[in-house]
Amino acid sequence: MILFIKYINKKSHLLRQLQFCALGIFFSSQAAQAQSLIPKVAEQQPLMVDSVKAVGNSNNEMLNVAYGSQTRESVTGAISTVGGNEMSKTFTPSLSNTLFGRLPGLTVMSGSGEPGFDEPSMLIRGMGTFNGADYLVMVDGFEASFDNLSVEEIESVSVLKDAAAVALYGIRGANGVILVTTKRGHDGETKIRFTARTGFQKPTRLPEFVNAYDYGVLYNEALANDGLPARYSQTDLDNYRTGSDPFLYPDVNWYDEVLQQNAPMSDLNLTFSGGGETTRYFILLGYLQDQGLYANTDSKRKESSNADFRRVNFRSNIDVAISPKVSASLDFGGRIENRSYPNFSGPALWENMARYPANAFPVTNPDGSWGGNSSYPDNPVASVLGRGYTSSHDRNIMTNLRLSENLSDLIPGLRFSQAIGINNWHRGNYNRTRSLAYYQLGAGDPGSEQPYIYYQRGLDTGFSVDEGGNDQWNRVNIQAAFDYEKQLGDHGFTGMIMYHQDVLNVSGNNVPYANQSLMGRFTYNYQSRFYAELGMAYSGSERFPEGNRFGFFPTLSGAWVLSKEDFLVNSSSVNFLKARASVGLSGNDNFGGSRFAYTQDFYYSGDYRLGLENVSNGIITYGQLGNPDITWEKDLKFNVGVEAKLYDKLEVVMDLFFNRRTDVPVNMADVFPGYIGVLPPYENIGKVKNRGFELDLRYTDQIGSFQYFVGASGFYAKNKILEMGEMMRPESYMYRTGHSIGQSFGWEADGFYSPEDFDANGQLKDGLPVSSFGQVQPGDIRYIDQNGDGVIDQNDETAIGKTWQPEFTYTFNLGAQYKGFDLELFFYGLTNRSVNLNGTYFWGLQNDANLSVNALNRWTPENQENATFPRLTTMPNENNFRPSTFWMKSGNVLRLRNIELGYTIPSNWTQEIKVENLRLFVNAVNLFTWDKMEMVDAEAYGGYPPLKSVNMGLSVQF
Amino acid sequence: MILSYKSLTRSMLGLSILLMSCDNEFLGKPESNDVTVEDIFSERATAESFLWESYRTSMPLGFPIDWGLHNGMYASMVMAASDEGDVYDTWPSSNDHNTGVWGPTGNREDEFGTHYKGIRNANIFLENIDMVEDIPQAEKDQMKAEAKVLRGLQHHELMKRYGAIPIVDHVLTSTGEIMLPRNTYQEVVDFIVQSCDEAAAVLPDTYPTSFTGRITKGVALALKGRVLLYAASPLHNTTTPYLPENPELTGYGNYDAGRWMSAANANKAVLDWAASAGVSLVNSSDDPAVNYQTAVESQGNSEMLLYNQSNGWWGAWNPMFQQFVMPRGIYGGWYGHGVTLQQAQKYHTVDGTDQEWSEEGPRSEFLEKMQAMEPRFQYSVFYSGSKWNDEIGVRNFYKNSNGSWSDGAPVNGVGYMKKFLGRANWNGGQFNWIIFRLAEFYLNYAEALNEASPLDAAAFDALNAIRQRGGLEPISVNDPRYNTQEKLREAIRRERAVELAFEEHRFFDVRRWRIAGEEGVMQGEMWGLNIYQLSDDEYVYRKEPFESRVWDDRMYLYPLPQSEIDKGYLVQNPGW
Repeated sequence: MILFIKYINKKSHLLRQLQFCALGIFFSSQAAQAQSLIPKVAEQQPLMVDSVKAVGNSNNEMLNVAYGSQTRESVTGAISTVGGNEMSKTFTPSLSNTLFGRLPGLTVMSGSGEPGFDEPSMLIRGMGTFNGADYLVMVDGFEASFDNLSVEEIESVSVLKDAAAVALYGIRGANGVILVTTKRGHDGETKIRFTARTGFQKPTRLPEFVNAYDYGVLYNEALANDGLPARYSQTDLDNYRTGSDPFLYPDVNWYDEVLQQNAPMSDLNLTFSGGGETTRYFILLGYLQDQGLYANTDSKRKESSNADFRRVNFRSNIDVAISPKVSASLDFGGRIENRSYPNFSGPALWENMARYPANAFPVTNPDGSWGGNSSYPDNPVASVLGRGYTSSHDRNIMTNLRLSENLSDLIPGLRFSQAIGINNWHRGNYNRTRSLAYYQLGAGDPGSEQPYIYYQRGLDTGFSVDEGGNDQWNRVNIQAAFDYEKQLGDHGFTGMIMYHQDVLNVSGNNVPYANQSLMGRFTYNYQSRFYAELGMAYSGSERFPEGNRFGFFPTLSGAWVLSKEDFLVNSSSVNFLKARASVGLSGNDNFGGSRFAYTQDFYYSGDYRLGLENVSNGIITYGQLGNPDITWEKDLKFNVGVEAKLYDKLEVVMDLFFNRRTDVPVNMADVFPGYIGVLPPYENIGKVKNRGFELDLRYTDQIGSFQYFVGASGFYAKNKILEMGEMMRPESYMYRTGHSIGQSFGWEADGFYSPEDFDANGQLKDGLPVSSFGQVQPGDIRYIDQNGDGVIDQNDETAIGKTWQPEFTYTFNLGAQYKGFDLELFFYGLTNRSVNLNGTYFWGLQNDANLSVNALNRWTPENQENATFPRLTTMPNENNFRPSTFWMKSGNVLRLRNIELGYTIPSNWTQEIKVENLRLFVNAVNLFTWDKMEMVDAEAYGGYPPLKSVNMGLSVQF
Repeated sequence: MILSYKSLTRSMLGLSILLMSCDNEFLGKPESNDVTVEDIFSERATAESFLWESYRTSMPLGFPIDWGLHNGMYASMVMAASDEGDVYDTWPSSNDHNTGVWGPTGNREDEFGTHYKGIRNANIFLENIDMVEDIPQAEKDQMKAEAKVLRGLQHHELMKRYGAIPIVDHVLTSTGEIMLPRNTYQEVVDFIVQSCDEAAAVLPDTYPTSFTGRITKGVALALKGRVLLYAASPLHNTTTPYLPENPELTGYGNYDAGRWMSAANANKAVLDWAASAGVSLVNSSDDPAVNYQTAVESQGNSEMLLYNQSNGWWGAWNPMFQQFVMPRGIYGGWYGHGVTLQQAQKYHTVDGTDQEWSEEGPRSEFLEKMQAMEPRFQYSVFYSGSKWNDEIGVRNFYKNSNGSWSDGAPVNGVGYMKKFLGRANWNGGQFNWIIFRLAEFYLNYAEALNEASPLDAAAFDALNAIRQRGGLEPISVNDPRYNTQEKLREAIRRERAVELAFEEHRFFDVRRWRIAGEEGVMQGEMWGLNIYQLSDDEYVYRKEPFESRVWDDRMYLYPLPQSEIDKGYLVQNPGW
């Protein structure tokens, strides 16, 4: 690279101004913006317009595209964009949580609500491959995560969906790209903006479990079903019912004991923006605090800590015109994140809260010691309050420097630009932890002075501090580009060629991750009516063997602005109409398995014991076979779209896509013979097709001073596995090939076995299929014998329900503004999905688990018809507790994701105190949910639940 | 302008060249912790590490020690799927076999491909060890011999289960020919025997104490002896196979008495070698039960030829061993392994007679008769009213008068398996799995010789060596109970069931003898003795069947997994 710079410097006197750039070369690709020295800054817009995905009335608005921006009218690809202002209506710590339904084509599903770890899972146009559909996220042109940026520093977030949009990402673009753009300064007076929000969060839903008395009764019933003696005597049960001795006969609701009612959250942001002809700036300072749901924790964080996330954001984006020909921008964005958690928390704690029966033990014993017993050793309350805490301190600084030189003296319309982006992250840990003794309580001898006997388990230790386990990574990107623009009469041309490289060093891994690309984008337009674009990337990945690391990924796209044609140009009904189409190839190098799948790894692991003293001898073992021919996934993407604005009120954006993924790497375990004796290699034999549509509508109007809009969107993606190297299946209905990725498979339940199904000896009557999963009895789940062989076994497994990921997402959006008041409601829904219930929450008494209230309506001889749970059992039961339609629920869900009511104080009042704008608002997230689930959230269960919140806040602009 | 255009062109060219050259360096995989085959076989230390990996993956382990299928059966021992024993709980996979609910799509006793992991390792070792420079040739030859025996051992583990299988005597690669058909039964036998012969010629008799556990000459001879015994047995050495299809895969397709003589000679060679190498039956104590326990449990005892040492308290895997194997409620045991009445009746009383049981009798009679059983029974079986150890003491388990089970119950059979477990406690311990011990070869020899040369005196001698060590009187041809070939055959088989109980012999023995289909062996009612409490202090025992087992002759050999058949390379075994 350096050599290259020297070369240029030597050869071209016009490039000598580059000499101050000794470190590297940079660029800023403002492809179609050569006139402007400083990148155009979208003005802060009033509510109604800003949140509109404006199609017609601002066709010269710049839209972010891969490594640059284009006028909205000239964009030939499928891109959805949402502005920061719209995102700020959803108050959540992680930024991606603000994107639910906001970007057609981006499926978002809730994850955990745990402070600091609340990112949802997202997919762009569904799943295009069965190897993981991770997409690329670019922040200001470089790969970076965006979840912990402050919403106040976000200008916009875009999703690049079709081949034209992702063309330049080449070998990494096939799963789509999210582009995040931060705010920049503007020409004019300094604007100071302050926002503050605060609110309270609650779980969307918590499971319910039976009380101690019911547990005892039902446990006895389960034992009786198993032919085993009762565990709880009538006296025991009476004691549970009356609660006469809360220590020997406890009745604990662990959720009530561990959790508080509300978890507060707040954030503050202060931004400055402004500038003049030569310098513009945007500066942000932000702070966010998000507390967890755990009750009674030590607010000073000495003994214990709530789950707690605190984040400081700062950003300084500076644009400078160094000379009439050279402009520069220096972006400095960073954050400090402090997280702390109870030492024993996360999924294990939530599992225990669900798994421990109400009668397991008292929270504390009569002498104040922690309760517990050997079957249920981790008292959930003690886990949170008594065992110290873990904490981490993260620092992340992303520094981007860009230079852009106008080379019009050399060739009119030519620019040369360079960029370097350094993204650096460090995590330090501080854990203050201890172990706890707990005491199992027993009844003292009758008549003795001690009513209780304490059996100690475990040991109390003092606090120990551990500051180990620090972690860090550093990412260095270098880019350089030439941009060219030329207008010849009716013919407009632009061209861009760019080099990009990326090196990620992760601590503890001595092999940096690297990728590299040479890209180009060439556009042509005729009278700004016809647009054509050729995008291409020659990009390489480290994951492939020498000589096969680079691929060529071309894309062709075009658009036709019909509304500029004679037959429409004067139409009053059609204000804007554009049709576009794209076709192209993109790649995905991010498949699972070994990072260097082209070679086989041998490494030290484990030992073998020899000798009379069993002396350990180290062994060398190895991973799966390498495939020297391994290559990337290829996605051939087709897209057609229409954008329209009708009657000045209705905006429509519609896209249809068809993608075909080939060369999907497949683990050949189902193809290679077992006697090869090693995990077989990956081979590129898989094929997936994926198709769908996006439709986005928005109607905006006003009646007098009452402004309103109604929006709706729907997007659909359905994939089909065409080839996955699947094994031969004994029955045709067992094939995964031909179904969607992630299609649920299981057994088709057919009610319960009834007593009439058995003969006097308890044997199944002849003619009824026999379960191979264990001896069945009345009240067990009966399955359909799909192949009619008289046995219910693995061969009766068939596709049941849908996938976990929704096929269809829809949204409704209503907003109104009247005399300073503004109101917006945002609904989103997921459909065509299924949820398989399993594990502790649903499979009562399995693995010593608690019983949830869903088991109350269990099968009994008296309750055969309406039972919704099989007969109870304390034994492992492979017949009942396996994936089946019995445990499958519709995952369809509709939420009022967001509602916000605001009031802007009339400016004639506020101007007296030099305030340009003062707005007060209340909003709520996930306020209402409609779904078929009874016990848990439809989008995530197990571990820390998703949250809902009610918030209030204000924003002031000076 | 011209110059500038040129410079532009050149700079783009420069970029492209830069990219091309980067293919090698920028995106290349740098040096890191992993090693290549060449590195491994560049020096002794790493080459040895690979030999230990070959051992780790080739040595059978019959104890269930984790949730995998390959060690023992899933959550149970193979003994519970034969007429030796049973697990009361229905979910451990021994129950699949007992109820006949297993087959090509589900056989939780074995993982076909896992055997070939060890075979592959041995092949990698054999093909590369010659590259190492700092190991003398003689030692390389010895190490190769170890690898050959390990490879042969896994081929035989496959053969016991599947009959003929593909011989894999070289490293298979994804680019090479991998569609190997099944060899014939005879070819696989010959391959293993040849490997053993080659290995025995160079292997040492012993290793230094820090390297015991490696393959000795005796192990090579032992494997050959066992392989030939199986090959001579009725399942394979017959003109009328159990099912007519593909006779070359299930056996020889003909009968040859000479195979019994080869087997006798091969097993005699083990005994002869043992005598010369100082390997002998443990006989140092006056108490036969102690001698037997030492032979089974003690590390480095005098009759041990090869054991797997992986099952120790340090276990890298979660040691589920005690949960799966210890009797209900003892040191974490979940359900224990019951010992059937069929198995119990194969043991003799201390005076060499058979123990008879009534349909029902008082508990005193139960205890009296149990206590009259021979020493090996006392060591191997934990019955109600017997003592586990000093810490646990005596345990009584029975069915209460109210119909519920007492602590420590229920168990199917006459009591729990105690063999192997005598030294267990809460602290874990070292539980070695026996692969070869000398006692087996006395019995192999006796069995083969009686077939080749009926009632041969040497067969009686070999059998008596085991009986006497077990505390029983010797027998002779003069005794009318043992005066025909058939009677001696039965006596040898019975002795084998007793001496080698639960060591993963019986399950395969009843197959190779082709008696699995007989009533009470692998099919029909399996019996136990249950104690019932009639009132507070009145108990009786009752002889009762606990389950009825299912057998089908196709089960004489396992089906190859359907997933392997579906790949189109292999022919399925008959009947499946």
